[in-house]
Amino acid sequence: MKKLSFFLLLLILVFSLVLAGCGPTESETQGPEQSEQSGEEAAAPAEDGAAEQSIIFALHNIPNTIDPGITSETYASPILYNAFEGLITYDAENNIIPGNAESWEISEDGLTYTFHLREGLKWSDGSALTANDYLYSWLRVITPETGSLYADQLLPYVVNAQEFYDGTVSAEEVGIQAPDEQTLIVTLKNPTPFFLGLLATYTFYPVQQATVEANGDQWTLSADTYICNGPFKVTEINFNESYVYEKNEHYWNAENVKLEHLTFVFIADQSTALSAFETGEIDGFWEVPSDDLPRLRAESDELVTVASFGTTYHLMNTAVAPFDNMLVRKAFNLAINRQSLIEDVLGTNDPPAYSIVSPGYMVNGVDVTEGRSSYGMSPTGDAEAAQAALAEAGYPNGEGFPVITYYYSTDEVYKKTTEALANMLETTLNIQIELKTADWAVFYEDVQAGEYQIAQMGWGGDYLHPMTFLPLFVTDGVNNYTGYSNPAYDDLVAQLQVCTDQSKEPELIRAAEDTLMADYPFLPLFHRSYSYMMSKDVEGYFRTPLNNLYFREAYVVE
Amino acid sequence: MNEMMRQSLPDYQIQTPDPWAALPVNAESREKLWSKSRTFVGDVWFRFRSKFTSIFGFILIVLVLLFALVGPYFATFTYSEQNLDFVNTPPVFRAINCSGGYFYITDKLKVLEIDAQGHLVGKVESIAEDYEKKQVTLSYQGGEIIMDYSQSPYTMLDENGERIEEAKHIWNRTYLLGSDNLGRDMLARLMFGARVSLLVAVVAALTNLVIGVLFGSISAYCGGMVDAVMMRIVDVINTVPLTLYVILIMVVLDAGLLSIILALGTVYWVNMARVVRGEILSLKERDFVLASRTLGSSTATILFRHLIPNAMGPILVTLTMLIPSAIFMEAFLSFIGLGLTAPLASLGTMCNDALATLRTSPYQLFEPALLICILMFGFNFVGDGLRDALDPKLKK
Repeated sequence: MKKLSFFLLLLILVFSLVLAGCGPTESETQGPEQSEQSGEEAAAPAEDGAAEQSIIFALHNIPNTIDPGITSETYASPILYNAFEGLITYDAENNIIPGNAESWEISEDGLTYTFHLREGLKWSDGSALTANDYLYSWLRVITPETGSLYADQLLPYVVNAQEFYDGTVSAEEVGIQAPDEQTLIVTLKNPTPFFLGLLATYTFYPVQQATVEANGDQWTLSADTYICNGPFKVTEINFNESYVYEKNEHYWNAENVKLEHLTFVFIADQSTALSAFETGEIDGFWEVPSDDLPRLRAESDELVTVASFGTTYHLMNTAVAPFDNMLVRKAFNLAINRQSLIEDVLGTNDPPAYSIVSPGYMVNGVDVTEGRSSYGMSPTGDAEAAQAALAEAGYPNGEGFPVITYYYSTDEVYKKTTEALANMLETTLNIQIELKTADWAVFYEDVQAGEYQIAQMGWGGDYLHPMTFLPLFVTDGVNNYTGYSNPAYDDLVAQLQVCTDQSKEPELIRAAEDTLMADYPFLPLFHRSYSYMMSKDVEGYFRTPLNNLYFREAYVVE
Repeated sequence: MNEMMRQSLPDYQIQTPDPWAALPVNAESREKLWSKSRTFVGDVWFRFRSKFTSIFGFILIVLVLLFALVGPYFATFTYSEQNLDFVNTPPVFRAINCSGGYFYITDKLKVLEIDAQGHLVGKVESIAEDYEKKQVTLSYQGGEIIMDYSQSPYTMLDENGERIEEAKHIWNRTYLLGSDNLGRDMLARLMFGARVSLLVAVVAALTNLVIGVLFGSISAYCGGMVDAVMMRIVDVINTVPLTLYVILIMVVLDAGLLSIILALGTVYWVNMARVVRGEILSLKERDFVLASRTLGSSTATILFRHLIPNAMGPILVTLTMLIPSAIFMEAFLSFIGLGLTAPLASLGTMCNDALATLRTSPYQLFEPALLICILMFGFNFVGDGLRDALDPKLKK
């Protein structure tokens, strides 16, 4: 123990000496020089000939599995989105465009989807890809033995999918049929307007039956057995280090894929990734450290910030006192200075949130959230109105208000956010708040069990439709952890669920949100944006608000 | 040491005219102690203070104690007081004089007004931002001023639209050691953090003294089967990593100071128990123990009156060496997120919080790290000095 502490002490000493060496003036002058240098270095190899069509992108977390039918991890998504392609995919403007399916028809009642696959689709090993591969892959997802973590992307929607999962019906009765090699017919339980968008998720990607059956769960571990069907194929899998991709000549649209090589490397520490980017070792990375954001915004033209289809909010347990009182929840919502939280604490440019649905879903060219009320909240908070609401709730000037426990999962950003919010509430409402933290697994279990008063939470959309958010607060919903229940709201969400007329959606969405926010059952904070760094030389890549990063049209300029 | 020898005898004056003449030989001069006689404590203190590093370490500890216990009464802020307008302000501003005021541009590209002495006045409200030119227009005293971040260092523009390159370094008078990422006073948090660290030191010392010394001495004195069983218990406790232990405790209790103190308290005495056992094993074979036993003293009397006082040297030394490692343990546990609940601060959590802002505000890591260093040096020096002072073999 003594030896260890001595060693650590030495480390800290050396560290502090190094730190003492770099005063503020030095680092200020270093900034632009460094970035200029990196620009030159990155440009250097291009000078001796045409630009090499190769991109290195850094990821910060190693996914547990890259089996598209099993994983539900965000970290696996860039690896999967570029190695596979589903029936449909997104273009740079977030429109749904044909992928493996050339066209499709939706029946009048919105229940039956008929997909026509392209002629001559091939796997990366050159064998033919047919509708039967899709049938096999989708049935594999809803087979319990597969252990898919994202089976609920299919189970609630497709006819008999849940029954098949429970083992009460056979595969033939599930609403997925492949009458011939080019046709796939899907029958849904209810008209699900966002079903097409759902199909872009990797859960719906085809996997090759031959390799999966020959290699079992080992098929994702080696480049030889990792057969895919997307714009790129995997040529090397270096565990904990990198995935190396090459253009897939068997991809149906291979002639339009300009990039020859694509490499995903793993750099666990974001500051290290930033340094690697600045010296030109990598062409891009995401999850830019938030404390460096303002500096990069000022000095770098390679920082890209895009809106993400997600909302960060905190939960209030409406089932327990004092949050069973709507006025208390209202007071909390009005007391928060969202602008200060976003700008001063988090250092981002995210728009403040006053409701659950994130902007991004368009109907007839108009965002459904446009013109939405702020439900009495203002960006900087309204202390007087908040105090008035608390007084009306029976706690004038915070008197008699119980000590509240604010729960968050252990993480630097969550900690910072929660500390700042707790302080705002304490000073504005004159109440007392205790903080409590636990590891995510423990925290999430407690929140699901309703064992909290206020807790940090957030939701990133699974598909580009407000219905990815609205069921979060329906009575007894699987993801409704607040205990909130309002029949009027449930009814509106149920109507939306079966609404096939897109032009009626904005009205229903607005009505649902108005009903929801009249009760203030949670604490909306901000709608997320996402920052990443990408070299100026890379063009044509795009990223959807669902955080799907597509390189299929990317290329490197001079 | 014999009580007889400690009694000082009347000074014996040599009064023969010839310095080289033989001394008178008599009973008194034979028994005379020629060096100055000191008590045990006085002797240790004499040797302790004669070593510069020991005194230096002692002074360091006293200074940190004063800083932690008395400091908060003089501080302007409490450790949890936030001001989100003034996040990440450094101890020294790079101030730009413009339109009659001094301005500091933060790492988040906000403009703060400061007065000539270095007091923070407030955040300057921005009116508009020009993303093309990379300039921000701000409203100041009814007029407009412009901040330019197109090139580093960021600065303000003068009336002619020229960049003001001149900057003056002004000490931060509002937050003497800067503010953290939530606009809290680093100085106040350091004082509070030092308190926590010293509290952990006291707890570690107490458990070591009470549990460690008792356990070790009983085990050694009883010997045989009792010794074997007690020492195996020590072995078992020693094999469970402390980190794991704290996690287990936190499953039952909530994360916080109590968990850490409980964890340290229940396991941190094993080293002490071993040291004491080793010492008592050799002491209990000595004749004075046999004599005491022959006179019919009880086991407790022998332990508390004879054995433990005689083992005080190694006990004190082990204690001063274990205290810094306990402080470090708390810093380490808090650092990896198993420690205090926010907004409480310890030196470890402060280091941890500062990691995210390392590139932009390195002072936030440097300050608590320095204080940990000072504390560690202090206790290590004192421990080192005590060991030398208490070791009779090194007696000069």
